Amino acid sequence: MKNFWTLSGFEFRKILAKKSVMILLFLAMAASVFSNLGTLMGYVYIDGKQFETSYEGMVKDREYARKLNGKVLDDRLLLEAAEAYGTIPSEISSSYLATEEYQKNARAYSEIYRLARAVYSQQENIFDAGKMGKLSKTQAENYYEQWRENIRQDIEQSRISESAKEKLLDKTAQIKTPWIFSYTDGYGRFFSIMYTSGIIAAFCMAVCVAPLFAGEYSSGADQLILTSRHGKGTVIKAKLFAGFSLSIVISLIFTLQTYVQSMLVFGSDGKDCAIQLYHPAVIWPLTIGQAALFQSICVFAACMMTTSVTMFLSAKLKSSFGVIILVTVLLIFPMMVHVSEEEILLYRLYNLLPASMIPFWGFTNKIPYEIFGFVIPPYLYMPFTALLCSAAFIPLTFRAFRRRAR
Amino acid sequence: MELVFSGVTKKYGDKTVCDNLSMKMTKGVYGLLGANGAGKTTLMRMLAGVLDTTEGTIAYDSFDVKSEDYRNILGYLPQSFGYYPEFKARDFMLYLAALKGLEKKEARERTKELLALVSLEKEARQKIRTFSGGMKQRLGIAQAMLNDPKVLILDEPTAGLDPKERIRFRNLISRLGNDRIVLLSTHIVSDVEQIADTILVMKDGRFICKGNREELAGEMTGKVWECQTDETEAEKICASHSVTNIRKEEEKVLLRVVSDRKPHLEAVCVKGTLEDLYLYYFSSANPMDTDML
Repeated sequence: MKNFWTLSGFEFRKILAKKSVMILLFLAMAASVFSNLGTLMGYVYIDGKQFETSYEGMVKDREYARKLNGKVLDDRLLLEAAEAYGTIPSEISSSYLATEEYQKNARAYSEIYRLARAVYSQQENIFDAGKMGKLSKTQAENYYEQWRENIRQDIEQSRISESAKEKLLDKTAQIKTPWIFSYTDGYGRFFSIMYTSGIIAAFCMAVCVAPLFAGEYSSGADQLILTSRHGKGTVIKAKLFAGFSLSIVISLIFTLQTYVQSMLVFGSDGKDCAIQLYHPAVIWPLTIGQAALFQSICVFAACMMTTSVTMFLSAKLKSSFGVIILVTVLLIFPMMVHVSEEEILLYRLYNLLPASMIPFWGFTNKIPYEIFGFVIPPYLYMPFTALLCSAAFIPLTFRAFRRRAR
Repeated sequence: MELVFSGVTKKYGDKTVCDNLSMKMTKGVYGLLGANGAGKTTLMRMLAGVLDTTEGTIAYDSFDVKSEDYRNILGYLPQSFGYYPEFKARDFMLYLAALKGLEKKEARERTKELLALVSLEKEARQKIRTFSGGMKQRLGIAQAMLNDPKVLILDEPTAGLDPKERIRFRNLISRLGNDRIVLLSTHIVSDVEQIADTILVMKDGRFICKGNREELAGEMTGKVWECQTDETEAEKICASHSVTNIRKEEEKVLLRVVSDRKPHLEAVCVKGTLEDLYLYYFSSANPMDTDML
């Protein structure tokens, strides 16, 4: 056991002693920080004219939204917002955002309009600002009925089994209405930036871990290792330990950095509110805080899976470069390819790829996984499968290195 | 203490690299001599347990060469192997010591001792990427001895060493052979001639002769000749025979020739050496085989 810890220490040193690794980690962290702060740089342009700085816009919108914090999103609030939007002149040549009426009256309710638009818009009938200004009392009273109808249709039209549809409808019934409004931009930024940060973290892992085994082959050190006492056992465990623990550390650092930065810059309001306040189309009964936690778990699991696959390929292939290329393809592939929901099996498998489970629309996807009659939400199934898959690759990696050069 | 291999064969597709090799090794130094491609490295890799045999068995006492017990008493220096350029020499040794199962204290002591033995104590805290080829080779030799192995397999250990280092290293191997099995391969005849108790000559995957220096030299009786001729005649002999030495002596040229028949009327039969034997077996097959004599 003492040798295990000593060997693990050396494996960490082998990875981190490389300047290229340190430079990559620094650049990756810088990219993650910039993807968050970058949204506040520059200006907001309306009709091609500079209107305000992005930072000023964010502060202003946050102030307006925070004034509505704690209010029940009901017909009264919707009509209040509608009244404000009703002041915007209908006959304008440019964007309504530039009008004094919008800036003075309606901007304060832009978040309510966003939620109304998400529910009232139908496929080709977009609920625009003009329609918001004319929102009727009946429409406002039927807000949640409309929302439930949208969700019901969404579920009914999906290619999942009838029993799964029933179970999903039961699940959606658990979502409590009316929702209590809260400013959620901090978490919203977290959800979107975690996609970038998660992919970056997974890519970093691939680069760090790729030489763990392949580097020994290409340098020729494998012969020294494989002829030593612990060369076919303890050192492989030490390498796997180093790879996985580095994966844990890197995914945690990137998640924490994204979380802390999003909360500090944009605000931490809305943790206990329904996730539907961020995205009304989500069918799962989660709070925003829970969704953030599940996304962090998905990023963690995706990083573990990427690490596991990378280590397996590293033990199988002769070159770390080849390993990095293959893992990069695995990470980028889901961003390039669209798989239709109609092909339900393929769609479900595609969503289990590391890069598919990281984004918000991935782990909150309405398509659940059905196993032995159980209907499992993606935010539970995806990380579970990824961790199971990571574990499954361990004996394969072990075997691949032990049997090397035979 | 016996390393026994029997009927060992290694094939890559249709190509037989080692062909039905058998041997029982006990304490002592064994020199494996052969041209490039003779199968020396393949045999050594099989004996080190990194390569499977196609046929045949290899065992050390009761241990299988694939077992951890065997690896625990094995020291191996491959022909070419990797270092970690970012590691210091001392760290590299400590890493290998951990791989070989040494406790930390013992690892530190052995590292210090062995780095001094290969004259690298001053460079112990220097990164390996700054080392010359010879220094890396010495470090490789040191790592092979970390666990005080009972079986020491050294593939081309003197490659890259300067003459002084080679002599030091030969003496070291000679001492090590007193209480363990040392198998070293080389195509430098003088290396094995000086230190090997038993010499194995390999060609095309087979042992073509085995024995000590005297026994092998004895095989050359009646096949080594010396003659003094003029330059024109010398050139003719060189073109038609294997010549191990040419020395100019005033107007004449003294030739040492390896041949089954008398190469010149005035040639006299002399006592053969290992170099003569090497040339006898390898020169006609491949002229390049003689490049390291």
